[in-house]
This record gives sequence, C-alpha cells and structure tokens, in this order.
Amino acid sequence: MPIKYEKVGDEPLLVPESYRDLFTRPIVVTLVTLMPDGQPQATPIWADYDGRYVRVNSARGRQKDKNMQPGARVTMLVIDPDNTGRWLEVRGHIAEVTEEGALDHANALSLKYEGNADFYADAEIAAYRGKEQRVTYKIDPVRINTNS
Amino acid sequence: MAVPIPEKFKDLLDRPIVVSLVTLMPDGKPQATPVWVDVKDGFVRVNSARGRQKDKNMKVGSSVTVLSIDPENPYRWMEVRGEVVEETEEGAVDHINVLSAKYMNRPDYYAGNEAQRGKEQRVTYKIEVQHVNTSR
Repeated sequence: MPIKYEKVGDEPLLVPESYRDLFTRPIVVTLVTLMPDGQPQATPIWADYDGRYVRVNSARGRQKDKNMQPGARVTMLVIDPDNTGRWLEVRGHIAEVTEEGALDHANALSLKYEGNADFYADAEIAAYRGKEQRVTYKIDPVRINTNS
Repeated sequence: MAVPIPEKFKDLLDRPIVVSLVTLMPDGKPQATPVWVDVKDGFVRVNSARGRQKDKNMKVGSSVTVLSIDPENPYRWMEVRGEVVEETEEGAVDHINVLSAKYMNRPDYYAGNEAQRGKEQRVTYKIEVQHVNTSR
C-alpha cells in the first residue's frame, strides 16, 4: 500500500523506521538529478542515511557534482531487491555539499557495499587515488513515498 | 532524433527487471517510480492507468528517463533518456497482460489485482530513445 509523507514547516522529514533497512542494506539506488536544461539524469549510486539526511558521494567535476549544487532538486528511488513491490522514493533538495570527511564517507560506503573499507582498493578506480576530490551531498527530504 | 538501444545492454530491458522511470512533475521536480517495461520496434514502452501522476506527467512530448540496473551485477546498467511520442489506450490492456506475463508469469494482469478489473483505463506510453548511457 502506498503511503505519502510531506515535510511540514521546518520540522525535518525523516525516513520511516520501517524503511531504513533500504539504506543499511547494500542496495544500489537510483539517483535522479536535473541537467542544466531540466532533463532528468538517472544514475545508480551508493547511498546511506545519517538519521536526518540521505547522503551520496561523488567527485568534483562530474556531471552529478555539477547537478547537485546546494538547493538543487534531486530524487532517489530505492527498490527492495528481495521484493520489488516494496520501495521508497525520496524527493528533496541538496542541503549541504562538503569535501570535509567525504573520503571517510566514500570509505564507509565502500565497506557497506563492497566489504572493503578502502574505497580505492577496487582495481577499476585505483588510478583515481589522490587524483580526485571526493564530495558528500546531503539530501533534505521534502517528500517521501513508500510502497509495500 | 531516435537512437538505437545498444545490443550489448538490450537484455536489461528484455529481462524482467523492474526499472526506475523518471518523469517530471508540472513544477519540474523529478518523480521516480518502479515500473515494468518492454521494447517494441525500437521504442521503450511502459504502461500505467489514466489519472495517475505518471499518466499526468507522460503527455506526448514529455521528457522521461529510464534506468535499468542489472540485479545480478549492479555495476552493469543502462540509462535511456527520451521523449513520449505516443500515449494510447488502444491495446493497453493487452500490453499490461504482456508485461504481467513477462514479470509475474501471469498473462492476466488482473488475476493478481481483481479489485481493479474493469475499474481503470490502462494506457501504453511509447518512448522514443534519444540518448543512452551505459556502464562500461
């Protein structure tokens, strides 16, 4: 059954407890950002939830980075791989973009998704070690749709 | 202009993978929902019902994006960006039945959803593929 939640005033809109497993399990999510011309771009990405913000991580200069300036609108869809009728959509805006702790954050995501606390351990991205600036983006939910 | 779906990644739309469909709300905010999908004559097709938000957001000319992630290997994916070139009620129930057979192994869509039978107008949306991004 679908349920909608909306942000009211300054009160933070939290991810419902019963759906937080979708952020603790290593589920690759769909992140939607808007291109400068307004067209939606959808990419698979790692994500987590810090109890207040939904967080993703990228690197300076990428299209995602350009599309995720503070205030930018983004949407995320997380589908339970064990039951595709159970899902969570978060619509929100970028509340914070920070380089501080962003490498630690990438490492934490790597641990969650790959079981390796060194983000650059993966052969495909080893060449980027020390050559890119990681960035953490915090998404402030303004609307959450769930279904189960 | 229409572009072809790369052969190497076409399975991501042919296999019963629930994909993310992104449409734009009237205020420009992206909405993302899980949907069933198939490909016919080079067009990506999705199915919904009249009056739903997706229906309102998928008028002819609307920009839409579909992301399919391989459930066997999440690092393999394809993003299709395009435009709705047709939305039709004709054959739309047949189409949802085809999708139901593909995804649920149940060629009668409403067999799993009796309460809705005859109570909604199904719609098929045909998406012209204009841009494709894939993983390596």
